[in-house]
Amino acid sequence: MSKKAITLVIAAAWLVIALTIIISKERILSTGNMIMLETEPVDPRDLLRGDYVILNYKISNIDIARLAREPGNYSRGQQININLEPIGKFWQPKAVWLRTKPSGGVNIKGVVRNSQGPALSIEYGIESYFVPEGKGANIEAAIRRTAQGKVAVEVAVDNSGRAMINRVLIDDLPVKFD
Amino acid sequence: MYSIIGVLFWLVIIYIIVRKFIGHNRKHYGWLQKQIVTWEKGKLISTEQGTAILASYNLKRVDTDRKLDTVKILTLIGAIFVGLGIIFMVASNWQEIPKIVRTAMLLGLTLGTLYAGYYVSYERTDYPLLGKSLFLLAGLFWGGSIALITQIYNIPTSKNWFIFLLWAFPILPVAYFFKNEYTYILSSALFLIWNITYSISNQAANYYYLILVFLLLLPISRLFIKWEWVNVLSLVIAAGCAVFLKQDYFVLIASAGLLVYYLWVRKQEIYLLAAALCFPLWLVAFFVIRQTTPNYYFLLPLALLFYLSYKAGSKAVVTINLVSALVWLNLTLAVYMNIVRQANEFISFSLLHSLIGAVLFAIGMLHKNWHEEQASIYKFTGFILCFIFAYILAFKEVFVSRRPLAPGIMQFNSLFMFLVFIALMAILFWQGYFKNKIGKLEFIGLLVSTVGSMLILSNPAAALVNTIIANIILVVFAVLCLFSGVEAQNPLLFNCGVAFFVLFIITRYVDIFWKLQEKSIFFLVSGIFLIFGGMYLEKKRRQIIERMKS
Repeated sequence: MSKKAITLVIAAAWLVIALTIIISKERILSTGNMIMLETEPVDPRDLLRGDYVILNYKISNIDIARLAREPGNYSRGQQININLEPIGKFWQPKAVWLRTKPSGGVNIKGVVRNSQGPALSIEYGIESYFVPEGKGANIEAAIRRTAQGKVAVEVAVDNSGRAMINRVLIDDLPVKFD
Repeated sequence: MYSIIGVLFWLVIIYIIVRKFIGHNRKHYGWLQKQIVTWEKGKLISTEQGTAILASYNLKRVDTDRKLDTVKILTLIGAIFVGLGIIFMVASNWQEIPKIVRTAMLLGLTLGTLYAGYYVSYERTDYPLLGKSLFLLAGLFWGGSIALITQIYNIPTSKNWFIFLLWAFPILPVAYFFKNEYTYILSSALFLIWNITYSISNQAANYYYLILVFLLLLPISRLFIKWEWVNVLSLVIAAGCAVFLKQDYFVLIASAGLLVYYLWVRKQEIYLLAAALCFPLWLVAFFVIRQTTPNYYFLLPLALLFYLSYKAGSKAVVTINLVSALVWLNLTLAVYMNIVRQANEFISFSLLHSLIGAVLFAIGMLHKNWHEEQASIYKFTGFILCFIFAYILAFKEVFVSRRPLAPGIMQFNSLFMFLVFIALMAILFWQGYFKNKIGKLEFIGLLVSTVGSMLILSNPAAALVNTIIANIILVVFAVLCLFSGVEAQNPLLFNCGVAFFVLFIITRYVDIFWKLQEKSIFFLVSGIFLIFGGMYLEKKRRQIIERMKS
C-alpha cells in the first residue's frame, strides 16, 4: 500500500470515528424521549474541555427499597436501568431493573458508583455540562438566586436507555451564552 | 517585587561581565571550530591536524548536523504550540460559531494537516523535518477534535479515559506507517494517561493497557530504537500508580511481562532494569493489601533478577536488587511485627541495619575472584548502612529519649545477622582475603562496627557508654578511609575519609556546644575553628593527593 493510500485510509478512519460519535449522539437527541430532571450544580474545570458544571440529579441518589425492583445484584460497578414516570413537571424513579423491562414510562441506563444497602449512587453519563470559559460562575450565581427546584435539565433518552443532555433551564428558560 | 528586580539587575551585570571577558574568546573559538571543518573539507589540513589544533585549544569537534537539529527543534516546538493553542481554544468553549461549523472546521483542519504531512514528506521531499512536525500537529489537532465533539455532547468527565483512548489509538497508525517518532511518543504518553484515568475512574486495574504495551507499543518501538525507553518507563510509572490504587496483580503482571520480554523477546538491559524496579513495587503493593502475610514469593523473581544481572554484568540492576532485598527484609519484619503486635523500636532497627551493612560489605569482599566489578556495590551499600546508623546512634538523645529494649524480632534477627557475619568472616579468612593491608583495614572496620553494634544490643539502657561506642565506630571509619585511600592510592576514598572526619568533628562540636546559653561565643569559636581547621586540612589533603599522583 502506498503512503498516499495509507494517509487517506487513516484520514477516513479518523473521520469515521468522529462521525460515529456525532451521529450516535445526534440520534439520541433527535429520536429520544425528552424528560426533565431536577439538579444541584457546581462548577469545576477540565484540562482538555474547559469549564463545566457538575450536575447532580435527584435521581443520582436513590433508595431502591422504596421502589419496585427486580431481585439481583445492585452493587458497585453494576449497570442498572431505572424506570421513570412523570410526576408534575419532573420525572421520578418508579422501578429499578436489570433484565426484565417494565412497561410504561421511560427507561434510563446507569452505573452504580456507590452502594450502602438499598441506597445507591448512580451515574447516568449526563453529569457534566460544558460551558464557555468563566460563564459557569454566572450560571451558579443565577441558580443560587432562584428557589429550589427551578433549575432543570432537559435530557434525551433513547430506547436503549442511553441519555444525553439537551439543554439546561433556569426558571424554565434555556441557558444561553451570549 | 523589588527583591526580584534586584536579583535580575545583578544577573544582568554578571552576564555582561561574563560576556565581556569570556564570551569574546568563545566567539573566536566558535569561528575556529567551524573553520577547521572547512579547511579539512578543502584538503588544506588533514583530519589529524584538525584534531590536534582543536586539542591544543581544548575544543570539541563541531557537529555539522547541529543546524539540522535546530530546525528540527524549532518546527517541533512550533507544531506543539499550534496544537496546544487549538486544544486551549476548544477548552475556552467559544460560542460565536455554530457547533456544526466548529466541528467541521476543526476536523477539516485535522485531516488537511494530516494530508499536508504526507505531501511534504513524500510528494515534495525537500522539507522532511516539516513533514514530521505536521504529522505531530495532525495528531494534536485530532485530540482537539475529540475534545470538541465530547464537549459539545457533554460526555461526562468520568469518561475522560475514553477521550484519551480515542485520541491515542487513531494516531498510532501515523507513527507506525510514517515512522514518526513524535506521534509515537504522543500516543504512548496518551495511553499512559488513559491507563491512569481509567484505573481512577473505574476503581479497577486496566489490564488492557498491559496487553497493549506488550503486544503493540513495544514491538512498534523497534522502529524508534532511540525512544524504546518511553513505553518501558511508562510501564514503571503505571506500576507505581497501581501501587497507590492497590492493584497488586497489575504490578505483578507488568513486572513479569518485562522479565519475559527481556528473556525471550529483547535482551536489552533497559527491560531488566525496569523489571528490577517493578518487582519491588509489587512487593510494596502486596504488603499494602495484606499487612499480615509475608511475601516469600518475591524471593523467586529476586533470585532470578540477581542471576540475570550478574550474567549481564549490569551494576545498576544489581544495585536495585540489593535495595529490593533490603525492602523485602524490612517489609517481612514489619509483617511479623504486625502479627505479634510488636511496636517498632528505632535503636534495635538501627543496630540490625548496621549488622546487615557489615554482612553486605563482607559479601562484597567475597567477590574478590568472582565478578569483581560487582564488589564495590555491596561494599558501598554496606558501608553506607553502617555509617548512617552509627552516625544516628552517636547522638546521646537517641538513647535517652527511647524506652529500654524488650527482646523481640529485631534483636533475634540482629543475632542471626551477626552469626552470618561470623560465617562470612570465616570463609574470607580461609580464602586468605585479609593477607594484604587493605584487607586488614577493612577487617578492622567491620570488626569495630559489628562488635560495637553487639555491645549496644547487649546493654541498650547504658546511654553514655553506647554513645561513646557509636562515636568510636565513626572515628574508626574516618581513619580507615584515610589509611585505605593512601594505601590504595585512591584520592576519592581519601577525600571521603576527610569528609567523614570533618562531619564527625562538626557534629560533635555542635552537639556539645549548642546547649551553651551564649550563642555568640558558639558562632565565633566555630567560625575561627572552621577557617583554620579547614585551611590545615586542605593543605594536608593536597599534599597527600599530590604525593599519590606523583
